[in-house]
Order: sequence, then structure tokens, then C-alpha cells
Amino acid sequence: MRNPVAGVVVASLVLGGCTKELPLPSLDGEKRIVLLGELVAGDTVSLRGSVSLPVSKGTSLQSEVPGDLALVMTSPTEPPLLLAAGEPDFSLKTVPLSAPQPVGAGSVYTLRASSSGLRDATATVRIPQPFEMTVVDTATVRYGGTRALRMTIRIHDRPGEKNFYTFEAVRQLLDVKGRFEWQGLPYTLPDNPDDLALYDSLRNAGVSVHVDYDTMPQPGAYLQRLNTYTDDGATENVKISSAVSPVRRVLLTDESFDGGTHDLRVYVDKTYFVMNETNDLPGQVLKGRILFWVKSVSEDYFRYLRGYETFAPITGIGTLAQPVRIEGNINGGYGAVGGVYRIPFYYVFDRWSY
Amino acid sequence: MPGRRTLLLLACFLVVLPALSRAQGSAALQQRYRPGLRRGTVADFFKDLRRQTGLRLSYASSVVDSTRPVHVPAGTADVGALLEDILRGQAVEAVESGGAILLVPRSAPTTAGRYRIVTGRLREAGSGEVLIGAAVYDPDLRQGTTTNSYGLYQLALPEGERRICLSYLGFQPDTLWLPASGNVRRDLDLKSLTTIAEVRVESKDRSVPGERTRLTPADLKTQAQTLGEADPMRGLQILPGVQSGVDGSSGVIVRGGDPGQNLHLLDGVPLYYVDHFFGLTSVYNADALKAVDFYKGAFPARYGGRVSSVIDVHGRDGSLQQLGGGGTIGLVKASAYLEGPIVKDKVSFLVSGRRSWLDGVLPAFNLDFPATAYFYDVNAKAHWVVNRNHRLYAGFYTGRDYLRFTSTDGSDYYQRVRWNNTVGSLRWNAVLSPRLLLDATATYSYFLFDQKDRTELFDSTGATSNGFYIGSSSIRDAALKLQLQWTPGRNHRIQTGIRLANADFTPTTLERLTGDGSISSPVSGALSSQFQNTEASVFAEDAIRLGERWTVRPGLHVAGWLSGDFRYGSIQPRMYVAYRPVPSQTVYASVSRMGQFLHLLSNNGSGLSNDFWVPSTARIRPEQSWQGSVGWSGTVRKALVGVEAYYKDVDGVIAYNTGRSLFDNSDHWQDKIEQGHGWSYGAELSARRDFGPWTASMAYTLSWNWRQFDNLNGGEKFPYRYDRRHNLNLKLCYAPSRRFDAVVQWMYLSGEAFTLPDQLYPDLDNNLQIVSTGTTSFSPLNPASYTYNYAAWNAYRLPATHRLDAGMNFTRYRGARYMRTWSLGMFNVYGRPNVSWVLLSENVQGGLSLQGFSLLQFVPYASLKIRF
Repeated sequence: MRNPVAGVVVASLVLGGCTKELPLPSLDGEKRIVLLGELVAGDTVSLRGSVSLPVSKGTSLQSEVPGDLALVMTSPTEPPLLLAAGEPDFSLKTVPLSAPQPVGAGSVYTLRASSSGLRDATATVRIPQPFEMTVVDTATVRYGGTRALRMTIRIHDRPGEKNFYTFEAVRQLLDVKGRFEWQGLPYTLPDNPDDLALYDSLRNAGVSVHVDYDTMPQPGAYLQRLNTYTDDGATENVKISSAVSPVRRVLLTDESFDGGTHDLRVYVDKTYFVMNETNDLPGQVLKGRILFWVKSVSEDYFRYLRGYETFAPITGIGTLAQPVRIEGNINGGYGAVGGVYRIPFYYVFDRWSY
Repeated sequence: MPGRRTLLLLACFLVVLPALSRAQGSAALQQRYRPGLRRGTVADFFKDLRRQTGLRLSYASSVVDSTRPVHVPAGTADVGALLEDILRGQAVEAVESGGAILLVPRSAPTTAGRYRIVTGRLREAGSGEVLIGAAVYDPDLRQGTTTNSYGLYQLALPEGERRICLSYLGFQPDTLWLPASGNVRRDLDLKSLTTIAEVRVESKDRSVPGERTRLTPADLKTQAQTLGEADPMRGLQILPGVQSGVDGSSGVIVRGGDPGQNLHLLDGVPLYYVDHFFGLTSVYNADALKAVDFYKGAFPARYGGRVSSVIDVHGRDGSLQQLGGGGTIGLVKASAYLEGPIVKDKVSFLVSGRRSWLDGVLPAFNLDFPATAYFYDVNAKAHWVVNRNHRLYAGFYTGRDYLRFTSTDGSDYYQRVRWNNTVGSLRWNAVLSPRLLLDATATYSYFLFDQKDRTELFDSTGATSNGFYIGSSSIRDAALKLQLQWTPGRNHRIQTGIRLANADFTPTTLERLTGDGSISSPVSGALSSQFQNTEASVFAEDAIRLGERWTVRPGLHVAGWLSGDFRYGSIQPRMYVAYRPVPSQTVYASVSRMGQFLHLLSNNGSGLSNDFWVPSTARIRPEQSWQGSVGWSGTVRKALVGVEAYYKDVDGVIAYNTGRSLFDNSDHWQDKIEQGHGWSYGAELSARRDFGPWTASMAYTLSWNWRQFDNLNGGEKFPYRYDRRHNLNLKLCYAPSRRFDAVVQWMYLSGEAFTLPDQLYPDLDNNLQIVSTGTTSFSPLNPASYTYNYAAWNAYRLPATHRLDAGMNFTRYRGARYMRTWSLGMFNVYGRPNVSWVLLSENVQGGLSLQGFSLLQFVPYASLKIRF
């Protein structure tokens, strides 16, 4: 700066501002049990539990995850099931709760969670009936300046009932191992340099080598959500946002096609349809794939997701946006446990050949 | 609930009005006064009277011989009695009006039952500029009027030889002699006190109790400034019932309304954006102003289109007689104007302009600011005196605010935001007969808000390309208005008119452009929503005098809004009743129905105005209000005092119903708007007193302000963001001479309401083991980590806002036309960190922290103003 004094004067005129700590209200708010997760038909039970943090003077974000959280799941056809509590995850601030029993489509489960010093929380979760879908077409297109994978997904709706559908896309990082045999001996790719050298020499010699691939999700590498768009006027997203706004989940009701079929058009951002070792997990040779999930979800979970989709954390505080009150299905607590019937399919990006 | 509010309203009238009508304060003439001298001239005694009592005396030199020597007995007596002694032998009597004492000729005999119309135009001598709101007064009959926005007056008086007094703040009063009979047209030029020897003459109050407040450049001069300019919007903020939004902004919140409920008129043309520099100053250029009329309660029927207030700004027309000009240069902006005759006494012009210049200066200091901001505006006006009875006006205004954020990381990213205003008008003003005045106006107004983001797009190869995101919101409206003022007799003044307007609205458009500039719209033909609407309104009102003490002004405004999809109609009765038990006091009451077809979605929180004007549609109904008020205005212990209570009920107020921005939604913006109900009530107190060169004034408002939406806060009522219980403004001016004046102002506002979550809990997606795109780790309180649970809307309060502003003006005169003024001062003298917005975050101890962000502390200003 050539003239610091003048600069400071001008800056003080322009800004003249500061921040200060404001007192939070002393509400002595009541902590509540939090339940989060999905009961997916055909999958084993896997949920998460925690405790809420009252926004009050003295509240610490480093609070402990309740170690004595107990969750009992019952259904009309099965005996009560106490879910096993795992080790608390302090980054997620939840404790895993699981059971090996599979979740049945069309079943209704009642959850009751308890923890010392907290009031019990309950939820009723209705698992949707099976439905069918087909991928009608796919194409790579330019959507709003973004390279996107366009898909048309035909949903066959069950008649006579209100159904709620979601679509989402996530990227899954995988440790891909290739195995091939040569002259009766097994070789592994790509970890063993000698095996890799043999593989390359065979390929260079024009030998056709059949490789079997094993995929292993990386521990600690979470699923990565991909920006998704839709210009389908029947979706909730277009109603609450726009066709060019990225969404986490595409939300659709069968209001306009009860019992019929609906072609849902979605666009998935292909920016991350590529492995980027630098940005993802440095030093690891990973491949990946895209998981697409078309789900039929319970009504109260759909309502929660709709609020969650419009949720912005700072709404109501100094912005023009209204706060969003997300209504969950946990009586006496917070969060949501969704009933889900899920149909997955995959898109493999990158060559897995070595 | 509406029934309860109606009862409350009724109670106001039944209980408060009679009580107030019985209230009478002390009259100025009854004040006790002990002269400081026993012998001297009349002028000496007047000077002593003003010094000791602070009373204002108004008289014409042609009526009072102030050089006459007089002798008064010793001791204390009533002011009225002493004035009789001082003026003994002169055919003059003292009457009290608006807290001031008028010295007028003694009553003359009248010809009973026969009336004639006296009309004319008052102008400033030297420039020919018409004077708005000048008092025209028959002191014998205690009957008068004020000039309209074209300087015209109409007065029905009994036949007989009469005098009428004419006065205007800052001008030497004068007297007209009328012949015995017949309608009379009298035009008169009043001399400005800056061009004649220093004479201290006070005018009567220019406001109409309970109806209108008028600000003139003289009023604005005696207020603390920001950025070195007297902003009329800040002059309004210190009135009772009015508050600013975010501290330091020039916007006004009137009786619980939102900023979009204020009708801004610049020479009759509606303005849709009135902020400059993100609200630090307004678009109104003080150099080009003649007067500002402000209405917040008893709305005349000629106004419509907004439910909370009318801010009617009258621009200067330009001198018909001599070339002149001036300019102001301050720390962040400069302005200049030039005016003069094109054809002397026939055609005049005025051109003024302002521009901020920090954007040009900062690079010189090598300041690495990532933002560039500037504004400019230009006012131009031409005025043609066709003949004595006909005048034509042409006006033009254009202004722009510009803001650009540039990336500091070397990338090409930038964000540019512009606010553009352009208005034009053509007006014909005619005196068709002594009883009939015509005003015809054609207006055009255009507002455009646009935002452009340059982005980099990546593809799988790692290559990048540039793209643009452009969002805009605009209104284009054209209107024709005809207005007639007819004075059929002494006790009636009728105004009627019609207005037709056609408007094109584009609430939001959204485009994406590829790097080569071609439009890359993902949705064919559906990215913008355009509406064309026609608005028609008619109005009529009659200002009726019932005897000497009662004034009743019934009116009716009927508005219709039409488009292909809907038709809305609104019948808006207006009523204003005033009773003057004594000339110095007025008890009044009013009821007004108002309606507005437009809605403003505005962000006042961040200080960066993102204004979206949206029209009513088949789904979004107009906003309509009922407002009732009662009040009393009078003189108490030499102070002008006003008390008023009000209740306002607005149906159809709007709010966003989701957590997203309107620009995220081009096609379905109507789905994001929630309509509900708002109501506010409160009491206002104002007082002003002169102590010789000192003037002290205060304004206090006690108010409650509520909103209720079916789909917000569980349908329960909640406080409006600007529900501020107490609002106090204190002001002290010191003006010992016309060469120096100083002012200090202190304001206090209860903290605004805001919403905090009551609970936080872990995020759903995190616990489904899904993270945001490109994220592999979690961090506390980032948008993906916690979900907020809201229990109640606006249940928390920010700290109260208060600050002290001070300023002073040093003025030098050279000759009759040259004037130079240095203005110095400081905004927020004691550096109160008033909170503009807040953020909930995690502090270093791992606890929750609520951070308040403040702007504008210790902000000095200095400016030099020159007039020639």
C-alpha cells in the first residue's frame, strides 16, 4: 500500500464495522433423543441415535454421545427386538444401532428409544410395498452449462395408495482388485509390481487376458452426493426450487399418476464421474462407481426430506429467507426414521482394466 | 380475531377521541412574560419577547410599524396583554396559530353571504421557482390554505376589502390587498431571506396535524448527515411512527409496514428503488429538492397503491430568471447542479447529478479490495410557462447502483449486481378558471435489478470453460393521470381524478450463458415469468369546513387491477375529521382503507438490497389495510406537542415460505410466497420547542407489530422483525445566525426480533454416510453437520440500537447569490456497535456462539457545498 494512513482512513469510512459476541438465551432447554436413518426393505436394520443440543448459553458442541441409548423395535408379526448399540462416532455425534434381521416390505415397525435422564422417544415406521422401475434411456448432455448424465426413469406406481418416490445419486469409492490367471497361476492387480509387469507384457504381446474384478468399499470413505437436477414439473423440487438448482434428492409424489407410470427425467452432474486421487484420497489408487437409488419412502419421511431439501442452516437469522421447520416422525424427540423400498442401479466410470 | 381488532379500533374512537377533544393546553398568548426593558421600539420588544419566551412572531412589515417607540408598565403580564400595550395605536391584533403568534390587521367588516374565489401562484423572487406549501391566510377570518405542488392556492373568502397574509419558511412574508368584490387572481413573488438583510421571521407549522408532514431543504439542513449530504429519508426517520430498518440504512419502516408498503413519488412518478450505496443514502438528491410531503395515517384520496405511507417528493423546477448552480463534494461522493432560464421568465431547466467516487480513489491507495461499488444519478427538468394559466413540465431521472465482487484467488470468478432506476414525466398544469385547477401527468418508470455471476465449468478432462449466470427482476410501468381541484364555495374544496397505468413485470428471469455468450437454457421457454397488468383508479374527496372549528374530509379511492388471469377491485373509503377548540389546538381522527397490488420481497438484513417486486396474480391477492388514528396537536408550555394513537390491519402481507432465494426459482416463484396477515398498533408523541437560537425536538413511538401466516410458525402469530417496542429520537439544534448551525441527534430503538433455532441435532445425510460433493470430512456446524429445529419465529431480540450523531455547518455568503458551506460531523459518535445481522457458530471453547456483526461506527463526514 503506497499510503497506509490514507488507506486506513478510507477503509474505516467504508467499513467501520466489527463483530461482537451476543448473549445466547438461557433457556435450560430439554435435551431430546434423536433417531436418524432408513429402514430399507430387504436390508438389515441400521440406524443412528443421538441427543439434541439445546441452543442455550453454555451449550457445548463437544457433548458426549449417549452411551446408554437403547432402541427396541417391534412389529405385529415379530417379537420385540433390542438393537445392538455400537461404538459412538464422535465425528457424527451418533451411536450406531443395528440388528441382523431383515426389514420386510409392507411391514410396520414401532421404535421406542430410551436413555437415562431423557424422555422416551417413539416412532412408527411403515415400509412401502415393492414397486418397479426401468431406466428408459440415458444420454450425456449439456445441462445449464454442466455436463450431465440425463436419465429417464419409468416408475410403475402401485394403484390405490399414496406413494412417495425419491431419486438420488452418490459416488462410491472402491478399492478395485483385478485377478487373472496365466499358465495356471493366479496374479493380482495392481498392487504387485511383478504381476502388473506381467500383465502389461501380455497385453503388449497381444494376448487376451481375462481379468476378474473384486470391489471393496473403502473404510472411512463415505458416499459422496452428486448434484442432481430435474426439470420434471411433477417433482417437489421444481416447485420449491428451480430446474437449474442442484438438489440432493429428487422428490416425487404419485399424485398425478396414481396407479400408472411416470417418466421421471433427471440430470446428474458428471463433473465427478472421474477419479481424482489428489482431491479424493491422496496416495490411494482407487476407482469408483455411481450408485443411483430410486426409492419409495414412507409419507412422513418424504415430508421430512422435503423440509430437509429446502433447509438452509442460517435461514431466519439475518437473511430474507424464512426458517424451515422440518417435521420429523420421532415423537418426543427429533430426527426421522424413514421406511424405504429401494431399487439401486449403477454407473461405472473409468476403465477398470489395467 | 378481526372482530377483536375492529372493537379495538372502535374503542379508540369512542374513548380516546372525546377525551382528547376536551384536552386543551396553554395558549401562547396566555404565557407569562416579564419584559427585560420598559422603553424601546416595537422591534426591541419583539426581540426581547422571542429571547425570553422562545415564541415565534410572524408579521408583515406593511402591517406592523416596528420602529415606533413604546413604553410598557413594569411587571409580569400575559403575552397577549403586553402585545396589546406594545401595539397600541396600530390597527393590529395578535392571533395564535400553530404555536406561533401572528400579528394581523384587525378584523374588517364583511359582506355577509357573498363569497368570491381568490387564486394565485406563489413563487420565489429572483428564480421564479414556485413555493409549495406556503401559507395563505386571512387573519381576520382565521381562514387559510396552503399552496399545492405547483405553487397554486385557492381560497374562498367573503366579499369586502380584505387582506391576506402569505408566508413561507425562509422567506419574507407579505400581504395582499383584495378589492371589494369579484373573483381575484393574485400571483406573488416572496423574497428569500438569504437575499435580503438578516430578518428573523418564523412561519407557521407547515404540517397538517394527523395528515401530512412536510420537509423542506431548510428542515433537512438542520439534521445530522451521513456521507456529507442531508438525506430526506433520514429526515423522515426521526418522525414519530417511523423507524429505520437496519441501523444506518436510509429506508423507512412506517407503523409496522415493510419498505415495499411505502409509495415513493418523485414529481408524481412512482419509484421502485430508492436506495443508493446499499441503503446508506437515498436516491433523492437534496440539490434538486423543493419539498417532501409525508403521509402515514390520514391518506388523502388522491393517493393509492401502497398501504403504509406516501412519500411525495417535489423536485425544483429551475430558475426562470437567472443562471445558477452549485455543487457538493464529500468524502465518498460529489454532486453538482446547474439551473437557469432557457428563455427568461418562460422556460427554465435544472440538471443535477451525483456520483460516488470511492471506486476511483481506492486504486490510488493500492487497497486490495475484492469489491467495487459505485452509484450515480442524474435529475433533469424543464419547465415552460406557456402563459399565466398554463405550465408544462418535463422531468427525467436515471440512477444506478453497481457492486462487483472479484475473486482474490486469481480466478476469473466475479459477481456483479446492478440496480437501475429510470423515470420520466410530462405534466400539464392549468388554471382553467378561478375555481378549477387541472393537473395532467404522463409518467414512465423502469426498475431493473440484475445479477451476473461468472463461473468456471469443469469437465472430466479437467479442462475449464467460462459460463455466466444472469438473474434479473424488472418492472416497467407507464401511467396517465388527470386531477381536478374545484372550489365551489367557501366551505368546500373538491379534488377528483383518474389514473390509468399499464405495467410489465418480470419478477425473475434466469439465464445461463456459455463462454461465447450464447444462451444455454436448460428449460425451453420457461425461464421467465412475465406479467402484464392494467391498473385503473378513480378518486374524489371534499375538504369541508363546518363552521370555524370543524374540518371534515371524506374521500373515496377506487382501484382495479386487471390482467388476463384475474381481476381485483378495491374500494377504499377515507375520512379525516379535525376539530379546533382553539386556534392553536387540533383534535383529529382518521380512517383509511388502502390497497396495493405490488409486493416487495426485500432483504433488509444483510444491507445488500435484493429487492424483488412481484405483482398480485390469480394466486397472490393484493395487500389491503384498514388504519384508524386519533390524535391531538397543540401548544403546551411554549412547545408544539402532538399525540397520536393508531391501529393498522393489513391483509395479504407476504413472506418467503421456504429457505431458498427467489432467484432459485424462476418458474414457480409464486409457490415460494406465503400470504398472511399483519397488524400493528401504538402511540406516538412528538414535541418541539424553540429557545431563541436553540431548537429542541423529540419523537417517541410505543408500538406493537405482529404477523400471522397459516404455514409459518405453525399458524401462530409472531412478532414482525421490526416489532420494536420503543423508538425515541431526540434532536437539539443551535442556529445563532445564518452563518453557523449545529445539531446533535440521539436515537434509541428496541432490538429487532429474530429467529434462533431452539435445538440442534446431527445431520441426516451424515448419518446415512453421505457427504456433500467433494467432501470427505465433517466439520462441526458446517451446513452439513447439524439440523436446526425451530420452535418459534422471531422469539429472540437483538440488543437495542442507539447512537449519537452530530454535525455542524459553517456558511459564508458573498453577495446575494454566492454561498459556501462547510459541513462537518460524525455518525455514531460514541461508536455503538449496533448489530446488523447475526451468525450462530462454534467458538474456540467448542461452545455455541452468537456473533453480531456491526457496521458504521465512528463514521465522520466532511463536505463542501457551493452555490452561485
